[in-house]
Amino acid sequence: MKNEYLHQVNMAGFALDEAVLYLDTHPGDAQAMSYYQMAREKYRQAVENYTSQVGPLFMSDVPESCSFSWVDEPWPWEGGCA
Amino acid sequence: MDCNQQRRPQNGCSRPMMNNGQSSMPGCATQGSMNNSRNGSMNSPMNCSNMNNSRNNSVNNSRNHSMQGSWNNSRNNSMPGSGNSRTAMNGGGGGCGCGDSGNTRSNTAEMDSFAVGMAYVPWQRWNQTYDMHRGLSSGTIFPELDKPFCAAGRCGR
Repeated sequence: MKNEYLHQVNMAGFALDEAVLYLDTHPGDAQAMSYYQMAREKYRQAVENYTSQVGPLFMSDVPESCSFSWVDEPWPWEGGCA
Repeated sequence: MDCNQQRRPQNGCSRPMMNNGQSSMPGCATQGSMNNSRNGSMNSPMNCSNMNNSRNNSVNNSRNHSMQGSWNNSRNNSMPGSGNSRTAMNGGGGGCGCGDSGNTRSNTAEMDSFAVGMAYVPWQRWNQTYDMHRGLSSGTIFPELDKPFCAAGRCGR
């Protein structure tokens, strides 16, 4: 389940990156801007889903708590990013 | 946003072509110089002799086709690769034997307006996009950029 949430983040994040690269050279392209808005919203939702269901994806996602949950998940050398 | 840049023709020339396929813009390549480039570097076997020729051509073209130089050359009708050079290159019968059919001529007519020594990338336009899943697995969301990757003797996507 965690991998599926992460896959959603990666898919939307990649699409967002692609749109940004295109818009870098086509800043006035309305279709590209529309796609960018769509991808950005999907990315935001995907990150939110991951954060709420799995845990913080970025350091800034750690929720208010008594402990720092950022360290709860496995580190990369423990297979945390697989 | 640079609107002028978006409206700029993508062949590198800001002036229209003449009917005979030669560019009306000083500094734009003509058939003769295109042939120089093609024979001098693109299709040449990679050996030291041709590499040297290619390098010399590039250096000479670069010198002769610097923007200021091109304008001056054109004013004086002495630009390398101008009408006379073109006749000599294609009408002389010597050379590559790659033919000069009508199709070839029409296909290269637009390319004649490209300045030599410059690299051009066709302007991308927004078309269809892959869905996000396929985009991630393909490495691009743009079908027109989804090219086979050939390296180390293998081709794949």
